[in-house]
Amino acid sequence: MNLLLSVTQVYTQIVASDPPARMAALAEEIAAQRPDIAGLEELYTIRVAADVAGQPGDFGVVYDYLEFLTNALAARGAHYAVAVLSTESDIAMPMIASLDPVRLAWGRITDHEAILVRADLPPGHLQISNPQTGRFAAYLQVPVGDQVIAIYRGWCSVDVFIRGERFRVICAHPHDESAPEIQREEVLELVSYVANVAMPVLLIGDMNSDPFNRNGTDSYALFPAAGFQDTWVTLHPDDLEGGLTWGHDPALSDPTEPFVYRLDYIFYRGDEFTPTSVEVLDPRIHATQPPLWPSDHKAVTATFSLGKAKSLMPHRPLAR
Amino acid sequence: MKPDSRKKLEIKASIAEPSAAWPRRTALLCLIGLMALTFWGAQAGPRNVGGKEDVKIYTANAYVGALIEAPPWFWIPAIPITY
Repeated sequence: MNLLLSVTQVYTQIVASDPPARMAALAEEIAAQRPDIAGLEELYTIRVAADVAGQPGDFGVVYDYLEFLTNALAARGAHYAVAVLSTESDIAMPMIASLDPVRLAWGRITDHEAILVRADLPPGHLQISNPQTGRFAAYLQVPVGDQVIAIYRGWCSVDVFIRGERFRVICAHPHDESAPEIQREEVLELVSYVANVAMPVLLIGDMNSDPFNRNGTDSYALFPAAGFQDTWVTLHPDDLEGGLTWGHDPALSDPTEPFVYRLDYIFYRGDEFTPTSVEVLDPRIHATQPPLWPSDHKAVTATFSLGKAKSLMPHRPLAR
Repeated sequence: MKPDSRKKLEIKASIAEPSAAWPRRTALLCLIGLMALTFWGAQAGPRNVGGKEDVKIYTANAYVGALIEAPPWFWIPAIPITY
């Protein structure tokens, strides 16, 4: 019964968070910023099915965050293409559909990460190749009743050729501070994978680890140890404890809730990148009722001056 | 003006006057140059006024909308969490 109530509560919270409005606000922000490349984490697909003799019937999509986002972007004249989409956890659980009469349903949540690229540049200006996705080998196991739920996290990447430079963009989302050991294993896996990438790398995403261990994790140190530079640190050496990106309250309703951790990063590795600006963004949704923001995280945007092209001809991939 | 000077001016004028083949060669060279620039431009993409090329990157967590990473059933003692 506890499980049913918990899943029902989670589903109710998701519905109350108004995903279409939040994705529209996110699209508004992206359309205003017009990044060349955008990494998005927690782009969920939420499905519901009727309960048929204790098993789920056919699932129907209730919310598709990526579809909401890309449609809202297009509606604002910001044309982006999905360069790569990873699928991580995919969990179905029973929940209470109604109390009188008691009726069950099934909720299903599927976690995605994606990299979007501008689709409105002239042909050849932004070339994408070698899309890759991966689930971390380390994952969280949660025994529930007689089954074990596997909660996976992962990453996605593409190779980008833009303005004379070729590099790899990786968007990753390790576990949060509720599983610090798993997070550390995931980050170790990530940096060991990147160690074998020959080309310059931009590593972006919600790494769920604070540089000053304020959320009880110590994975952040693995990124500089692997040769990555933190855009915030490079451009704000006098405000290393600033640039906080988390967190609003879960209901996105409390303007007095302070931000306490920096979890979202744009790391870079390679002499080709010279960061010229970095900003933390937290647009307010113009509504009187929650949600007041699109996410519990702030977004991060950075601009890099790229080194001179080594060749103006199309490159052959340097990927391993 | 001395006669020699007039002669020099006539010679200069004749040098400056293009031959019939000159405009065609110029046009061809210009066309080739334009095509090369167009090709390189397409490969290199737009450049900013500083002479270097910029790329803008963005990242955001779209947030599922609930605390699913640590949902309430994680805290039920009867259901242990294992890693």
